[in-house]
Amino acid sequence: MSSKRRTSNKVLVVVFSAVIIATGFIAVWNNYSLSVNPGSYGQSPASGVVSSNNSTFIVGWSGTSIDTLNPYTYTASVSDWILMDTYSTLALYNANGSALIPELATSWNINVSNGTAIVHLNPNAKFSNGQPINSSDVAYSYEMADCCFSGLSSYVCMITNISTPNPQTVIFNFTGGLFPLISLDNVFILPESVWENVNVSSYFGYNASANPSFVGSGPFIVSKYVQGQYIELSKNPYWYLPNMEPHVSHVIIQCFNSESSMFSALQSGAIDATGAFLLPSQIPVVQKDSSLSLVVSDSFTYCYLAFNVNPSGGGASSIRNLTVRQAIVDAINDTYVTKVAWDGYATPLATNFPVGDSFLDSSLPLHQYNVSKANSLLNASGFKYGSNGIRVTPNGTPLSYTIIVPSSFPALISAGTVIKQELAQIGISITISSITTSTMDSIIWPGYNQTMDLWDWSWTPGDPTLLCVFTGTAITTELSDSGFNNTEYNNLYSELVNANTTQQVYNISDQLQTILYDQLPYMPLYSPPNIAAYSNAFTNISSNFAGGPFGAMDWQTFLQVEPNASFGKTTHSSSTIYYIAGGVAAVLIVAAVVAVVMRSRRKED
Amino acid sequence: MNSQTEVMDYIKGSMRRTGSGVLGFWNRYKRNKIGVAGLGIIIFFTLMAILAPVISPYNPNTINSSLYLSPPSSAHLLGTDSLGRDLLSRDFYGAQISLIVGFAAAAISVFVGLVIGLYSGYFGGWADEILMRVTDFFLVIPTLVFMIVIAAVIGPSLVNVILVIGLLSWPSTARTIRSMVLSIKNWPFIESAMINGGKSNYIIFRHIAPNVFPVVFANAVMSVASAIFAQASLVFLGVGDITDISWGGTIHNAFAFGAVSAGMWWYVIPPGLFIILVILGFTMTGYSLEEMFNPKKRGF
Amino acid sequence: MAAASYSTYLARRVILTVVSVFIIISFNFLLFRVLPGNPITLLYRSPRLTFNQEKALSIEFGLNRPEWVQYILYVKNALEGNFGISYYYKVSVTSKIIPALENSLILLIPATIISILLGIYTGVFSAWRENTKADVAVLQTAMAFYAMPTFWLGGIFILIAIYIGGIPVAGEYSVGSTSIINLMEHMALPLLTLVLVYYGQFTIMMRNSLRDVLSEDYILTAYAKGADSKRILYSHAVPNAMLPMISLIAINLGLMVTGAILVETVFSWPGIGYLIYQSIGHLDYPMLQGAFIIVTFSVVLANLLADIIYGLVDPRIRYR
Repeated sequence: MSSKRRTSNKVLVVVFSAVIIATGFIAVWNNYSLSVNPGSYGQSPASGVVSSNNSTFIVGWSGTSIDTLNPYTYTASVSDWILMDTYSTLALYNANGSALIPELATSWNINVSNGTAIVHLNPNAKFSNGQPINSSDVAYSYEMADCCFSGLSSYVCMITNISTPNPQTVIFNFTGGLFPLISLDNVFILPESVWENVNVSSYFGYNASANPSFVGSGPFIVSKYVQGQYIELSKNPYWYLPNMEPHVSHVIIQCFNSESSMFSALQSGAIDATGAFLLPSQIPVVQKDSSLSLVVSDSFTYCYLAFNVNPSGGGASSIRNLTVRQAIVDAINDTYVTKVAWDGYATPLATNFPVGDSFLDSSLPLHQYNVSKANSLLNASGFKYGSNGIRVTPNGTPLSYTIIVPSSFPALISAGTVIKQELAQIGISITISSITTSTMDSIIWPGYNQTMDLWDWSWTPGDPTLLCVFTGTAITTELSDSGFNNTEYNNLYSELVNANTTQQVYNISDQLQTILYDQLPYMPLYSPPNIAAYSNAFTNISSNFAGGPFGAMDWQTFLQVEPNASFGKTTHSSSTIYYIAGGVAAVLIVAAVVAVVMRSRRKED
Repeated sequence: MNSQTEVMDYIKGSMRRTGSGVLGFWNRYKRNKIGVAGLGIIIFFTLMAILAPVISPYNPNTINSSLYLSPPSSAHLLGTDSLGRDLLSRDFYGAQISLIVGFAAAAISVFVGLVIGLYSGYFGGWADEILMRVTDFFLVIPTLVFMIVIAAVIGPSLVNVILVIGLLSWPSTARTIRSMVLSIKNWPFIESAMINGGKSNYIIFRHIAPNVFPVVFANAVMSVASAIFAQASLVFLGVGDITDISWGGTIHNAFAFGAVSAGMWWYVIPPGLFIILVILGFTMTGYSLEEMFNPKKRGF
Repeated sequence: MAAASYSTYLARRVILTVVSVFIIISFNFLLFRVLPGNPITLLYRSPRLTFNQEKALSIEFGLNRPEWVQYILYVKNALEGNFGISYYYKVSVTSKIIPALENSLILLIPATIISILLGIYTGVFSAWRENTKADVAVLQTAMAFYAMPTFWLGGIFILIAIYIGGIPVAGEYSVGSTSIINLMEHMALPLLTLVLVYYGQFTIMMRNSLRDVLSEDYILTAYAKGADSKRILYSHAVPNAMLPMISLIAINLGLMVTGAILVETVFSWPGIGYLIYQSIGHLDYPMLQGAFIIVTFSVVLANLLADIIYGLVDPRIRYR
């Protein structure tokens, strides 16, 4: 027995020494690698002078990750955000959408009545490879934007002709009143010399093996891209607008699979800010942390309950009865749903635009919550209660509906749960089915087989073409999940597209919203809040844009952000390794003690 | 390494022993501390599931708009979720779904495994070869991946989850049953029944099936544990029905609403402990039963 | 047992593996067809797939040909490692899976090795003290960890890590870093989670296996001859008890992949499990199929490897 004990003690000694040596070695190595590698994140400038040479701003992103960097085929909003700062557009909207700021264009002269726009370009403008940006590049970019594969075509379809009398002038001919509203700020100007050599419809927009990998026209260029993990933007050496010079040298957008993991990364200092978006539960944690700042902003998103009103669609046919929809809307207390789903941080909505959008018709009141009115509506139309407390249609089909809702939207599931309880009061039985958005796609668009769905729309602020979602054509283009097709609405929408003045566009937009308010293909529920937080190691965070500084709508964020010279930056020491070593040591000690105790016990036996 | 005689011995042994009645079985079982503890846990959770409406302080579906993710208090001992619903009550009610899925899925998987094992072992030959290759395939594939894909495609209802888990968990049962059938086939009275031209189905279900029953039973108890585990995993990944009250769903919501990153341990720890305990209960019971019925083959 | 029997055994195992591979591929082919909608609409329905890619895919998989031709084409493509083009990423599935698989192995191999070693150690500890309090304690601990939901344990570690602060809980590297230290920091929690949920089953396997060996005649004979008990344990019993472990480990590889999916999801580890999880969200069928085939192949091949090793080290090999 004694020999056995001695050997095992020897083993323990050897293991302990090995652990200690390894820990020491790792610690030394760790310090060494930190000291020779000052380029790692979050290093504040040595002097008080805020220099842009050596600072990296890291934003976390937990929304849909980057799908492509091709300006014509992207759908993810984070891609849009990246493209905004890596390509020029002719002009940019300011924070509240009230005025256009020149970017590539220095001035423009738009005459809506005869459909002509003359745009003068900045003569100093260059691409990131040093080549000048000419009017031919602008014409090329606008022409490609109108191609069948392009997601930008709704911004340029009213353009009838583009001419380039000289390298600094572009003349657009167009019809209708939308051009000045949406055409100047939405088309990214690409280098024709690069894009004419690739298959535009399938090009990713960044090619690591090409030299250069990326040619852009914005203040930043894409310098590195690791699929599904992060994208690094660096200052464009040929950027031509000194008044829009970025204050940081690099911007990194890191993708996370959940708000929780993104928030943990912010807390541990691995990222400097969070985009798309934090949750109400995290607000108190941010408020308690003196090194973090909180931003709660208006959103460019709205959530809704959609009814399948497509006459040839599947699902429960009673939902196509306006009375039933009216009763449902009357029985849902939108204010309460909104409060419960987002802990009071969201804004209830009456109409189909995100809160704060200039096209939102504020004269429409929230639908009145009135359960008795809902019940009398149903009673009057012959929807009697069945034996199980669920109403039935006059021909005997029970009013039991399934609402499909994206499983990745927890707050919408909460909203659905509340709606389910509220509709039970009027004898309508609801099943909530949470499925992936792709499965929702495959239920809705091949044949409109849903009855109701809860979902959201995110939209560029100040763009009335969101209303095209309710036109008949949107059924075939898979935008419409209600299948709404109303002749009056369709005609009015084409009037909006062809309106002659901006005021007319606003008036028609209000009329369209009134039709939706009365016909109820959707019940708009709320605009969720956009909650973000950032580290006080950075300052001068842009504000006032819908979606907040990190909501993928604000092109100013990365231009304005700068390291906070007065902030005593805590270096994120890599302490994990010590915790590991400590943990291993603790486990070994416990094991050794247990082993020794057990041995002595055994010996006594 | 079970030789056929050994297998025969313990089957005969278990028959004899169980033959002496439920009381005799219980007298032997209660000497097994692990088994008794496991059975205790199972009874505890079964009671929790049945009595959930009685012991829960609140209706688990009552929404309270003023209690968004509230911390534990004297009114709500484990706080509330994002809809202000009482978490303690939801944890109690969670036992229902876990046990329903566990028992139903285990019943399906044991039934499929039993049928395949019986036929495969009894008939042998090509049928056996094919069935066993398919079994091998299902035994080695990462079942959860498979469950996720199918559940994601056919939709998240409770019945679908039970079917998916049940129909993908039978291989180990099938293997065990088959090896037992192979040896039982050599018993004299079965051999004579076969030679005398007894109908196959009759022999299988009248003579062989009762003899494999003890091991099937132990196996079924183990299957309940793995079905509960699988259901919790699926719901956690958002593939199951997260609107039902279940422990996996509560943990899913704890992540989805940021409770984990906000440090709300009372949200995430209790349902996890319940899952661990109920799985332990079934594993320990199954383990003890196997030890009793099949002293040579222990473990998982 | 002569060499001939080993080669027969080997040949049989190889043939069975090939059969398994074909079952996997065929199964995948069927699954692809059973999914809602026919495969062509599935391909065309993806709004993110460009027209040219659709055409190429349709020709590549011969979706306009008879079913049996499609099957042969499918097998051919699968064997060449060509699983088509991802709906979501619009690049070839293989180019996404290979790096993800590497990341998974970085996590899984150490986790497996450490948990096996830990399992063997605790199993020997437990079997050697059979029916003592120490045995029960070790066995109960092992069972408890075995019963622990992987994702829940991960969540608890995240809670603790955030409470302590400074410990990375997501991803494989910090942005831009490729240092091994950084990797180890990110690996710490997922690795710990995996080891803890894996090791329990090995403890129980090892304990039972060793207990069986310890009651064999030759061990009892050795005791009777008065040999040192320690010597008997380590030079006779443990090596023999390890043999059945090999095949048990192989069978449990599928389970480990399951654990990996959950852990990778909880810790955003960019491995194949996380890829599968994301692909479900995108309903990216080609990616799911490809990942499924790769994962299953790996497990089947690992099983073959275990069989070969088992055959080599155990001269008493018996084959079915």
